[in-house]
Amino acid sequence: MRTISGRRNRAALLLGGGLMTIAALWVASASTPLLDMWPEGAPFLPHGDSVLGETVAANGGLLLPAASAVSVTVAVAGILLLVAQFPTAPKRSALRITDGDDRLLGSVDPGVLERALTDAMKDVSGVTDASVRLGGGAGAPWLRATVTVAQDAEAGWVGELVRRRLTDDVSTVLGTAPVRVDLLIRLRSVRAPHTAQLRASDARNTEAATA
Amino acid sequence: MSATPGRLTRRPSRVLPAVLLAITAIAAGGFASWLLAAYAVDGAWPDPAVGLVSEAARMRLDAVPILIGAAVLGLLGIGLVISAIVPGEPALREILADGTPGQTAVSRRDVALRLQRSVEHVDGVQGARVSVRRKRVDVVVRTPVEDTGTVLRRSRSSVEEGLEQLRPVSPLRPRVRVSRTR
Repeated sequence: MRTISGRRNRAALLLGGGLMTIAALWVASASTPLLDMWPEGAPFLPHGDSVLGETVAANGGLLLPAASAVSVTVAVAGILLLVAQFPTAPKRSALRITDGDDRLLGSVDPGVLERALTDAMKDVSGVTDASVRLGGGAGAPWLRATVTVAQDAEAGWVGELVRRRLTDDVSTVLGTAPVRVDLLIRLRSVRAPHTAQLRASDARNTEAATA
Repeated sequence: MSATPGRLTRRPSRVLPAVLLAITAIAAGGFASWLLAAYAVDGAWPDPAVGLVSEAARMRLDAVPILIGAAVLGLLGIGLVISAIVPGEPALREILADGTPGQTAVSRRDVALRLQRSVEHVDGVQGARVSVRRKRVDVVVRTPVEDTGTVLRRSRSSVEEGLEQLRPVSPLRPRVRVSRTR
């Protein structure tokens, strides 16, 4: 399951939105009598009667490199923020199996185990599709699975069974119980039929009854 | 060692406001970079922007266009800050809490659709609309049947059965209403 960092987005929004609001208030204060009320603020506040071109010309030497640096930084930050909106899957690493003395016995690619677990989950009655992500190393593995449950299956029962099987299978393979098993259940729902439908089993029963 | 992933039932990621902020930053930063780079290289503003720059250079800071620009920027900034602060409702609901560490979750949309389909299977129901809220499930059932009481009872038991199967961690109280169609 791929996700987008909400914390990073919130921080970016607070920073970006806050800076925009402060800049807007600073510019707008030129049209208010704030400077008359607080003359000490003259060095920091904009003057309503100053013309943009003259202000820039007066500070030309310093303003141009500063403005260039700020504009490039803003553009790069925008590109990075946009790239961060692509969902990413949680990171994983190779599983190192060690013996009691911490000597390396072998490595397992988590992808192999993920495929085996996915196949095992698809065998569970009521599951129509599954995907599993395994991470955290062999010492403290975590699992994140997504299963699609058929309309006629009891989702609660299937969910419990899938989590139990995932825990058992990982414990058997790695010798450590997973520290966390997250399961996202997708419920498959089919529209109510408008016409009469006969299931294969019902049809056989009907035939047997009439024979 | 890789980091343990976050909880499944998280608040929304605010993708839309973040994309809006990113596009605004790219547009403003890119335009300013282009202007300043051209000025630094050629010693003059680029041709397409000469009119705009000279007009802006003649403007006083308390001119109306500058005020309008500041108002737009301020409103956008406040909007983005609000979107970061307002927590929003998680798209996933936690269900089936048991002893195993970790969470089992299902999307609110899936719960609503599952309940809607189960109500639509009830005899006499023409259609249903289900919305899953924080602590409540609102179900509006449309039926052409005169005896709306029976339809209401059957629909309610169908919704309750569906919720019982999922066992949400924070309980959802069903509220079923029937509207008669002609």
